[in-house]
Amino acid sequence: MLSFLLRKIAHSILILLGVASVTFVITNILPGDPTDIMLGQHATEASREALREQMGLNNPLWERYLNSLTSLVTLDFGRSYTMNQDVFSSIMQRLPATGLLAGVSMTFATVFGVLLGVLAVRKPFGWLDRWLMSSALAGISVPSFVSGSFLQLLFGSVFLLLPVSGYVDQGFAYLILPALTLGIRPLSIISRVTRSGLLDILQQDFIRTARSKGLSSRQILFRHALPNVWAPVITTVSSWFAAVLSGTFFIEYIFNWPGIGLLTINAIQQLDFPMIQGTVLFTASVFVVVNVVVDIAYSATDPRVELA
Amino acid sequence: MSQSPAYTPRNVVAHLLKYMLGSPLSALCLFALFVLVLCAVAAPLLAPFDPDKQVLEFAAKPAGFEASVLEVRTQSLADEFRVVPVVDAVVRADTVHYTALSGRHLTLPVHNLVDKNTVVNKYVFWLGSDQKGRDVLSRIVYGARVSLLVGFVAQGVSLCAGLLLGAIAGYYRGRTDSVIMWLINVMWSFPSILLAIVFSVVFGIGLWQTILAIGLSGWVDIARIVRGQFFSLREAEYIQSATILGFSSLRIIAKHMLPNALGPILVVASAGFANAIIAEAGLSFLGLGVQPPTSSFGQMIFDGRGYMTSPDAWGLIVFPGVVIAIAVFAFNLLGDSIRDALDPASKG
Repeated sequence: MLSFLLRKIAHSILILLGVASVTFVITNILPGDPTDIMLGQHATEASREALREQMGLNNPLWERYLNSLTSLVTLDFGRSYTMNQDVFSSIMQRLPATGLLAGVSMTFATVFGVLLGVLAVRKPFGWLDRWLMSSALAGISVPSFVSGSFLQLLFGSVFLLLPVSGYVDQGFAYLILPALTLGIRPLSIISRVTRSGLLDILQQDFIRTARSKGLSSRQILFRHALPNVWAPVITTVSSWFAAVLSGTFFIEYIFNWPGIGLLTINAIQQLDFPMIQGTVLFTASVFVVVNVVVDIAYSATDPRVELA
Repeated sequence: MSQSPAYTPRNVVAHLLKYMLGSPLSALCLFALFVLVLCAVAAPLLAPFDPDKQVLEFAAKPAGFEASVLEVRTQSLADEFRVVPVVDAVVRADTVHYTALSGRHLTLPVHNLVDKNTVVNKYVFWLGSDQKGRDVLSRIVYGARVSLLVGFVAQGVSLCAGLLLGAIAGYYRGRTDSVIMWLINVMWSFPSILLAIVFSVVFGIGLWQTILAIGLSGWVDIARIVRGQFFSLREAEYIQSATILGFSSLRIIAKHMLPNALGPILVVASAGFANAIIAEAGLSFLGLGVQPPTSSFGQMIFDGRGYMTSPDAWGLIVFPGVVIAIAVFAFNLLGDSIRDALDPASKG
């Protein structure tokens, strides 16, 4: 078990190194002169030079590369060009907003996704099943900025019930539309995964045995079948959670939700290089870490996963 | 799977068509795909108006808006004619007498009209007009062209990269595989839309830059599938026989392994196509994709959001939004149908 853990962790460190390298390469070939952004286009060459020196832009490439790798450990991503703030502390400041949105919408998506999946499988290939699964495919197909805009249109000018933009500090109602928009796609995918997992399991021998013992279909579904689909459902939920936690770019952008996604989009629009590097690196690292934690949790709980 | 005959393009298409026409929903999707492709190919023939023609008098009109106009020749080279909205008009001798929208009675010589026979043209904006008085339907038809072009070429880029890396990793295994797999895992850690956004900033804005940005952010899924397929195919007896017969690696990969892995690749490619369409719309929504005046779904929605509170302008968001959703739905369903049609075992 210990060697398994160590190998998993070593593997994810290798991935993180790759992530940091890719981020470094991308942000270092971004166009534009950082000093333009901080000082404006009319600054004197001397003040530009001083700024470059101060920010370490004159250091050789390998030194900057090493710095960006060590920033993973020291959590020092430099200072933002536009916000006059430390990049890492800006990210930490925005994390609760994204975390709240992600947590609420994933809970909603998981509960209703599993529920709809179970409903669909009660009569496989019946009208309800077909209808639910087509709706789920539709849910996957609508981009978040489209569904978000539709909801804003509906509630902003037709129903006038819910606020269409702003953060939850102005009231709980501000959370509803963004969380709903964010939940649609994972909900659809979770319901499809639950349904196809259940469909597989319901055809297996132990279910036939349970049925021939005279158990009710309710007992079979909830006591015998459902516990066996948790594995694929948890995989889906966790990979979505990682994706959602790492920033929900469009949803935060259109609902003006001050999370990491909005921070990233703003940084890109203003070409704030350290902030782009920091948010991109953070986003990918969250994904790697969540995945390895889920992987380890899996192998600890499921005896069928080999620790090889 | 390894028992089934190799997929040839012809029997795949025939089988798939038969499968999809069997259910009303997928038949409808096939029809939608057909219409979209038709729009993309024949946009100039199908669009009722020039998508860039601005008639500021008709800004932000609701769906089904009708108007009478005169098309008057201009001297400028940029615009062939200008559109003069009128209440009514009659021709007396060689002069057109017309009432402008302001209520004033004005005249102009008949030979200035673009078409002397039909004096008054009836304009119908079936899906309304946008904030600059351009026809929404025409912009959607041209937008389909951009959307499908970007989706198609970007997915082509992703397929090339994914096939190459996946095939090499799955065929040669060992250290080569470890390195490629590491790269795949690294790239997989970035949300693909974030990669597309950052790449499009790196490459700059424009049609081909957008295509490249989306293409380079979408190859990971394909590479994973190809690698997995090749990994198991490598064990198949007929591949081992081919190796023993001394066939070159290239011949084995191209003639024996690739055709047998085609089904799953098509499934991912179809879903990837849908994702590329979403990515294109997303990038142009953020102003990072194709640039105005070229019409694109994402940009139309973004512009429409500026008029969200005006009661007549809901169509500016809803129509392009619905078309994106239909396009993506149709390609996703196509992917699902390919999977079900080619592999009965995974049905459901």
